[in-house]
Amino acid sequence: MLKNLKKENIRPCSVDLRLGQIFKLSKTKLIDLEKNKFPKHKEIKLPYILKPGEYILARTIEELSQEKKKYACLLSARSRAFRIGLSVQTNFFGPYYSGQIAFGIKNISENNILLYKGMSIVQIAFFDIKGETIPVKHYFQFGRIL
Amino acid sequence: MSVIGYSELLKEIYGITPESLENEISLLLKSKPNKNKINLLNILVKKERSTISELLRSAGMNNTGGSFKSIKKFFEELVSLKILKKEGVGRRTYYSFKEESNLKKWLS
Repeated sequence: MLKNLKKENIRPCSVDLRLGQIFKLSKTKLIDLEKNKFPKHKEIKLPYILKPGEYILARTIEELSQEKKKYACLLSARSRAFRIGLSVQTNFFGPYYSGQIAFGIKNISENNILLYKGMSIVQIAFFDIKGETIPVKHYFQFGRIL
Repeated sequence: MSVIGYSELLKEIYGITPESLENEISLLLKSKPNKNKINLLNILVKKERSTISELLRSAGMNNTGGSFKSIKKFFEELVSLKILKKEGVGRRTYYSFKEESNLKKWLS
């Protein structure tokens, strides 16, 4: 279900995830999904001070591993994120997804915010699926960003 | 669509239920565990098997006399409660968690 998690991060009906790596997107003239034109990304070392308005991509220490039972998973921000002015761009994971959990972080406050390894700003909830699903051969990641 | 709760999360991630863990912990409580004893179990769970002396040394504790006897008594009780198992190799006695132990899954 989840790899590399800490037991104490299991909540009543969700699991808190920890920040593992962050990536900065390079500036590019134009991003075009149709033509697979994406910005390049470069890993930045943690701890990192996120400046107001700055947007980065992040990856959690935990990984999804849905080998046995299949769930639909919803990644969402923890309330502490918006309280300090972090907007977290999250994602929905289908029942056949196993792998890294990526999300976006933007500093929407007027303050510098320190990001550090192990910081818990997102959580994941698992949902039972009613009815049958269909297998997915592979998950398409736009331009393989992360 | 219903959200998966704590007990189901534990079952899915560790293969244990709070009830089965509670049962094992209540058995463990009969052997009067203390901080040192739990610390040794935490070290043991990370190893495939270990002698009491090795565990005591890893924990930085005295591995002779009273400390040794007290831990030996504790481990023997856990063997009788089917939480631990032991095997003799020559003059040494190795202890390890039983594979099906919920406590093992929880500690590891």
